[in-house]
Amino acid sequence: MFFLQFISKLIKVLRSGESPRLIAGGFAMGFVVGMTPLMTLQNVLIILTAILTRVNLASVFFAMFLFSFVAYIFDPIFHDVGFFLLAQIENIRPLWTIVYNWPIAPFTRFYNTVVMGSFSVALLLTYPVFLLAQKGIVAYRKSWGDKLDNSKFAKAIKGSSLFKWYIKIRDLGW
Amino acid sequence: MRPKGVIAVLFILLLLTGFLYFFADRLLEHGMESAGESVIGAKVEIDNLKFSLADLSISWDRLQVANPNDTWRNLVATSRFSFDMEAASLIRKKLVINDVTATDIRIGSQRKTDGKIDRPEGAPPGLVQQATESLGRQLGQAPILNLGALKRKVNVDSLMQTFDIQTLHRLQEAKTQTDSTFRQWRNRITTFDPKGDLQKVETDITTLQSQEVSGLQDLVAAADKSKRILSTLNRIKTKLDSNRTMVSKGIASATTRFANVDNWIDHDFEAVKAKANLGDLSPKNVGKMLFGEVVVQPTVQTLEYVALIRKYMPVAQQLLSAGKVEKPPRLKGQDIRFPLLNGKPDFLLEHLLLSGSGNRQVGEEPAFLLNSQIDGITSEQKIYGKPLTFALNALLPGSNTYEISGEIDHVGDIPVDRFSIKALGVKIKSLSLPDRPYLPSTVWAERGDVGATFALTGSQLNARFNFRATPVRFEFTKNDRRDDAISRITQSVFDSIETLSFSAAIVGPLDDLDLQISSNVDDILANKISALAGESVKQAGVEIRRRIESAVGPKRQEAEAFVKQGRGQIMNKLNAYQEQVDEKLAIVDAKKKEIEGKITAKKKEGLDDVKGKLKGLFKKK
Repeated sequence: MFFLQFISKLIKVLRSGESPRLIAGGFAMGFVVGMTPLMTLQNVLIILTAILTRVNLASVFFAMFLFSFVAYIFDPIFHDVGFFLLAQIENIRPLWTIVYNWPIAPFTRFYNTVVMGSFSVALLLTYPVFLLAQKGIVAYRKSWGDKLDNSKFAKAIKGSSLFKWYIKIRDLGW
Repeated sequence: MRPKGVIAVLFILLLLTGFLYFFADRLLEHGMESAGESVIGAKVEIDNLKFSLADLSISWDRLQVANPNDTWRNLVATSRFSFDMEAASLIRKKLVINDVTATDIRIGSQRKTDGKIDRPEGAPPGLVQQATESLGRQLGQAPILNLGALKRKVNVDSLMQTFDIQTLHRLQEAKTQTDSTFRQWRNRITTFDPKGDLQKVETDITTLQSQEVSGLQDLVAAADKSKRILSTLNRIKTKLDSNRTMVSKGIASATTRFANVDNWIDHDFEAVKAKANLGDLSPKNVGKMLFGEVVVQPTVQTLEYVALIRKYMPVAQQLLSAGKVEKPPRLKGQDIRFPLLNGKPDFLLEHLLLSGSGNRQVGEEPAFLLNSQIDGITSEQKIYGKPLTFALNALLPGSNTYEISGEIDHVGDIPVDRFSIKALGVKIKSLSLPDRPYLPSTVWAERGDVGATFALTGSQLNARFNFRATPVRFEFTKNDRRDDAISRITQSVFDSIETLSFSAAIVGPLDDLDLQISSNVDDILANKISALAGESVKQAGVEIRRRIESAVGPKRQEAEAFVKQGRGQIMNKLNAYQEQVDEKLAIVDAKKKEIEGKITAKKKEGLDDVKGKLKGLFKKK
């Protein structure tokens, strides 16, 4: 039920007049948090930034939810990338050593292969994801929205008993 | 900025602060109890823990740690207790405590509730299991006194028919393993095979030798070529030497498997004797029979504690290992450690001073008074740079002091754990002996000297015990008193003993420990009991050994021949390569010298020519 509510809210956001930049910004922030292990200082800071700024929160949480699955699939690759960055490039080892000795280092967990690998990959992809999301929102509002609404898939979803239950419950004001 | 967001963040912070304010003590208390229980294996209870963020201190009203071996008693209990933590380290998620002084520590006090916790029975740590097994084998050699067994007729034929000689299996296993090692080295040599390179070198040498060299330029080119050939040959030689060294080492280590054959035969011999209940009544085995368990039990218990210490205070190698974990659990990854610059370990308690008493009940005299100092309790000795040391004094009422000291050194790559106990003229009261027929169950003694040293370096144990007590009195239970020849001997021997002294040593690698015990009772008891043994029993021992040795003999020779042949094949191949390389090196070296000689001659010839021309020039003038 929560998921349906979530999707419904996101679609509302996509259709609303909210700035595509703010929605895409939220999506990119959620992308970084979703791709990396949650309990790190950098993720707490990103979530706090999302709460304090005007980026769209629904898109933050949607991206977090979506990309946590993607992260699970790519976890072995993140481990390899992280190990390469942390242990196999001799030239940046002195830098890691300095960072490791910072008081906040334990809270970032940068020395963990999955944290380092996933965060590096996520950072590299943040801007492309932001751009794609922005273009996607504009394109959705222009043409995809109506097409999606009239698609067989959307009709099937709307016709499903689960969706009808959701509408009933929603209308009850719960 | 989103105003609602600011309110939400402030609300979350407020909630978090409130939660920590009200529940931090509980959380910390629960965390410390759980961590303690997982280490100790029995209940750890802390009452009314208070954590002060303002001055970074922890205090509690009472701590009691149940004894995992007797869960109705406490291993240790304290009354009110407090200590300060280092602020700078706490920010880095490190717990550093400089000094703790605790008085009124109680050891072994009675509990009101059972301190047992449900814990899945895991396999004992590797080193404990190894030691238990090897010491169990040693104790198994101790004879069991039985008059019927001493007097009976032994049928060696039927005994040997049903006995599976393990040495034969071990020999076969060692042969298979050595064969695999030989195959591995043969493959390595085939991969290394320098035939192609040597052929190329040979062609180059032939070209070099057949080449017509007349001018200086040709000579220099030929010299360069000979240098190139020499460099190729030297490269092959270096590889060959390194392979030879590795092969020699590998083969030597593989063939050491066969060095233990005599020990395997001994084990078989002991096993047959145990099967036939033919105890070896030599003094060394009588020592094991009398005091074996008295020595083995505390050693295994000490090893259990050492295993625990090694688990929670790993050596540097384990700590800083950065080898890649191929498949870590999903989303967990692997933590890579980097050097800490002037860093502190995750947990450090620099100095701990404890004083208290043992077995104290309310209104009861303490069984002993305790004073101890422990320095350098840390989870990462490599980072701290110093071993843990402790010194403990225990004083029994009306007795002298027990001095216990030790060092846990996990700073280097190989852990070294040392303890020693020294007590002179201490009150002993009683010493329980293992329950064995015909033998006393308790020794009562007034005073005695106790000494023990224990050193475990890696997996090499060196434990030594000394005990001397006088006057002593041996007590037999009713079951031990029988009216037969053995009973009369043991009674008379033990009744005549006024001073008991024994020394024991447990030495060697944990999986093959050697237990040696000697006491002032061994010789007398061994001679008197051996005299009772019938001729059949004495002869059987000699015959069993002869049969095992004759069964193993041919297989042993076969294995030795196999090792010799395998080693010979591999070394012959390497030697053949070596000869070829040396031969070619000599040819090229000679050719190189020849060319260099020619070059020098040519240079001289040219120089003379120039000088002649110069002289002619001056003459013309």
